[in-house]
Amino acid sequence: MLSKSQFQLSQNEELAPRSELAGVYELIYTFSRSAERQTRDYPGADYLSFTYKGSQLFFSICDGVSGGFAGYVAAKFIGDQLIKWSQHQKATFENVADLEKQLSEALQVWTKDGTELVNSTPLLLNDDETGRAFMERRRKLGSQTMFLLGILDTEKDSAFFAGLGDIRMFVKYNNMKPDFIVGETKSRWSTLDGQIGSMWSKSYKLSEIDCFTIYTDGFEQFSNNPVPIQAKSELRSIALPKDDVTVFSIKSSRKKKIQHQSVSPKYQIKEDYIIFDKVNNDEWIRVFVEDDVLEVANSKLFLKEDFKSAGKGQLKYQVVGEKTQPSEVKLLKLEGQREEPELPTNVRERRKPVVNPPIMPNPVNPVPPRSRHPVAEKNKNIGWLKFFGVSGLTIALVGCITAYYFFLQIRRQTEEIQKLNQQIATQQVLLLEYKTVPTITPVLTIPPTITETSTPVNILFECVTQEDGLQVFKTPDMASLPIYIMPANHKFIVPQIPEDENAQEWIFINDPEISFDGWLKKQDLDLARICIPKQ
Amino acid sequence: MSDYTKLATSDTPAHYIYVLDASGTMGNNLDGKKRAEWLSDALEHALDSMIERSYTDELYHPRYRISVITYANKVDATLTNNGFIDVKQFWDAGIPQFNPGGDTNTNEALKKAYEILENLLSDSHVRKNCPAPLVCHVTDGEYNTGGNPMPIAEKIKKLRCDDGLVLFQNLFITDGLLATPIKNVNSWAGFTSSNAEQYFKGDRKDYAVTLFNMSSNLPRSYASVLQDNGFGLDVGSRMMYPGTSFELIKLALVTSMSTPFRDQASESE
Repeated sequence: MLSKSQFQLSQNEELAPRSELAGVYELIYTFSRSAERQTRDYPGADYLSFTYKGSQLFFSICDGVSGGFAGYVAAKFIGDQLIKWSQHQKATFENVADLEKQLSEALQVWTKDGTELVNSTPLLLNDDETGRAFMERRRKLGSQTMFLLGILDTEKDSAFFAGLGDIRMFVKYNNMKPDFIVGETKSRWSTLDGQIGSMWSKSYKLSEIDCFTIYTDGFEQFSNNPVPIQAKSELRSIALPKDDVTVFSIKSSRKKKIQHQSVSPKYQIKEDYIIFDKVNNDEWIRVFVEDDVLEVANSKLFLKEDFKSAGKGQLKYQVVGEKTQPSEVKLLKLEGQREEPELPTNVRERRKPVVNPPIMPNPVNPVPPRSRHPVAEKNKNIGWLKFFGVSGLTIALVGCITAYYFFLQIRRQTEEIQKLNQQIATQQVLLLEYKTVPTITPVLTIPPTITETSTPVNILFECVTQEDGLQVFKTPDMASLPIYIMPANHKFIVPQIPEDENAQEWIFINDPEISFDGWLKKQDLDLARICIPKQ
Repeated sequence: MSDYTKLATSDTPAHYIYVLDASGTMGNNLDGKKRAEWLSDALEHALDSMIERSYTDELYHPRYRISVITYANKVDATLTNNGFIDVKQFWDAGIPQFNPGGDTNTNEALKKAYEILENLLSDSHVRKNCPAPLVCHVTDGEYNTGGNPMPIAEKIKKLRCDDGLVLFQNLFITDGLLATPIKNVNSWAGFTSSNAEQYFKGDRKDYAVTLFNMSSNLPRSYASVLQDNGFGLDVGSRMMYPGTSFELIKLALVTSMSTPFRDQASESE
């Protein structure tokens, strides 16, 4: 019986993207068998296991070798062994070599039990005589798996990782360029031979790390351009992959000082969205339903439909810090261009699919009910002055002066209200353009020779609205190239192609199917600038 | 792109044609065993490897299709229904034992291979997506009926698909052929020079040179797969192999099926 602080993946079923607080760690993870294994109801070769207690988190991710005997067996076996073993180790930033040596020895010891397990494992597909003969031959050679082990401890400010094989790890630092680790493909653990090939190991100071994202090689969309997974919603596109996919992302909650935390009722539920009143525009918040972390975003507004996947429970949020602006992307206004009205902050933040437009058009009534601006609300009762008649010239004169004074006040405030309403109206007009996105004609024109940043081209996407309401923009023939698209309405030029991690003002495409959750506007796409980094 | 990099998968299987000499001389002994028996053993080894590569876990992926043509006086391609069949289907029917007898009509056999290839490449899916087909010709002596096979061999080598020209490989089973014996098959780099004369000796030398000139160069992708299997054949070496020992016969058959395929360690297809 597993306790609440332990998790062992079932290799026979898919695991929808999940996020949760595990002690002082915030975890996001998912698992999907390959399409073929799902179809043929065969166990997945990937395996994920973790446990946490106090300041510590222990986890293992394994990828069984399908070219050997029942890779799923070795994956589960070694995954569980690693978790048990790691809980007795004293991992610190300094003793990496010792840990690696001890792990190598343990890997050899486990071959005995591993071999016994393999010998007692029945074949699952019985109707293929040739297949059975080949599998029995493989059985004698043992079952093999790759693995990645992690031991994290916030009190020791230490994170230790070791691995055999090509399970990948993306390390996002707070203030440094990220690490991306891929082990040797041919390294693995065998129930017959123990460790095969060389092991890698590495340790980090946990306080220097923003996020670790570990995934098996089936996660194709990150093969070329890995990025950290920081919200559950970023995993929604995984479905029927060619190979098993396991993704496991870790943030340590303690490194960010929680500024304030709120529970119900400090939010308002509107028709289509939920707004967290106390959050400032430039703050990042983490939204929970009970302990399930639903989203992390720099927005105070969330669509109600985003909460559908969450279970029932208390809605609450934490403010975890202010948005960090990219420092290396310079924004330069083009001369002679009219300045556009400023959009809400989250309209320009395009790399966070979780963030939604602040006002969603109602499909029945395309113009959302216009809420009165607070200033307007305050002044709506200031209208007519009641002039009390008092006889006498002096009093009449005083009255006239007073009336004129109030008249001036009212006129000034009326002008202010009109100005504010005009701004609100301007914003609404802009926001309503979201509705035009699904009607974009599926045409894509990309001059293949573009290698620099500033050539404007027309680019249109095919937009498909999926069953779950997610809008997917298809960009044919752009599967392998990393491409940046700069929305036309930003009126800036980029002097150089930014680093991936700094390209927050850009839409980043590394897959023919990408999702923006309704973030693209037609005007962005019609006149977007597109650039393909030099290879 | 024509660089022999397309992968052998269920959707894009590799196609190999084995053109096997079953003339009377294949009944002669080599190292205490009939040449035909060595060939049968080597073929079984190659097919075994193909099937092994086709299983990921317990799931079979039909990524290899073969055609077998035997020839003596006449040509017979009925083992594979005058076309290609999945390698497991061929395996399940049992590895054939060849009964040597008759003359050596190489020309007719290669014409049959050309016909089968032409038919295969008329399929646009195969032409665009599958790895380039390979012809593996196994013989122990010069043709003595049916005419010179060189022209049809050249014609076969001009057939192409998106992955590259059709590859042509020769295995010449005979003894006393090599000017310098090959001591270690695994580390042998292959016939790397274009000067074939230096490699051969004896009364079969001229025909060995003919087969050498008939053979394609080993693609980089093949060399890479062979390297993974412990063989050191150089990229660009001539795909002509002297069958002076069982190890070399096996090497030739293993080479014939070295189309790159999805990494079994990480790909369940």
